[in-house]
Amino acid sequence: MNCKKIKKLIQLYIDQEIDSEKTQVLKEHLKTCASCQREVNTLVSLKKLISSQEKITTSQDFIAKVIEKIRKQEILKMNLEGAAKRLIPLPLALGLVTFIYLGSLQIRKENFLEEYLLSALDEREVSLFIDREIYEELF
Amino acid sequence: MVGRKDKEILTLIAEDKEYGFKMLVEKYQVQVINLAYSLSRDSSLAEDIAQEVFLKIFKKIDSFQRKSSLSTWIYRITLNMSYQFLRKRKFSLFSPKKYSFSPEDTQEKKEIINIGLSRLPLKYRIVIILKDLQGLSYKEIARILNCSMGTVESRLFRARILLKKILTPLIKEGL
Repeated sequence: MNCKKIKKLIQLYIDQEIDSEKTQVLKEHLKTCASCQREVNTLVSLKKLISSQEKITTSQDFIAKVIEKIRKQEILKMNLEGAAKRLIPLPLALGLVTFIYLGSLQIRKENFLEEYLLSALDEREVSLFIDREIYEELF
Repeated sequence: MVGRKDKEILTLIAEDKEYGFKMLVEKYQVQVINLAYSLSRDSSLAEDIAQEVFLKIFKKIDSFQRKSSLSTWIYRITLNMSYQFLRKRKFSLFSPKKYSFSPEDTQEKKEIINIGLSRLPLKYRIVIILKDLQGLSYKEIARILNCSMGTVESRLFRARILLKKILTPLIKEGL
């Protein structure tokens, strides 16, 4: 096997994604190839440095803060729903719903345009985040 | 990952949403904040992103269809949320300090690696972060990014070649 193919095996090896058969092929090659041995050392060092990057923890009251935010949002939602029921007569409510719906259509159109422009700028990067499955699950 | 199994957490959420949700946050908060941090390099922003991620999870957990595993779903939400936050900042994905010296110790090398990562195109940076910082398998990364394992493998391969090219002039004595 030539060095070009061996480099792919080196990656599998350092990522612990290699099977025993390929490990054997790699070991045999490394016995006689100084260049690939250097490649192993470089990639191992690189991986070690990346994986030892600083890690952080959440603040001590992180869960409490999240729960508090959830409660605030739920209270706000309930208040808005209650106020809407008490204060808005049916014809006005229907008018309001129509107005909001038409407004949302416009926003969707703008969002779509923004996404399109972004994807036109760098389609490959942005497409990572806007695949259909993710959006189906999220929105 | 420590703590309860995902299946157990989902059952707890179905029985008592707030309690089950606390268990979910307890289990995933470190991964979520560190993924956000590795993309933003701003601990305060990473905490804000993490909070929004869990808020989103709380709102959407009832409609979680289990098409993917819970961890995959959470990683996806974190990536999307980080992306949304960073886009608001006009793609100012962590702005590293400028270095004009040759790094000699490991701490300096780590800083240089940060610079190298920041210069990688996003799709390459993400696979490196998920593999080398989060320690995920090719299979898990493929599920999160909704691509094949072969794509993950080739992106990682290219990412490392690019990273070495970027780092070579910065680290004179080599890695």
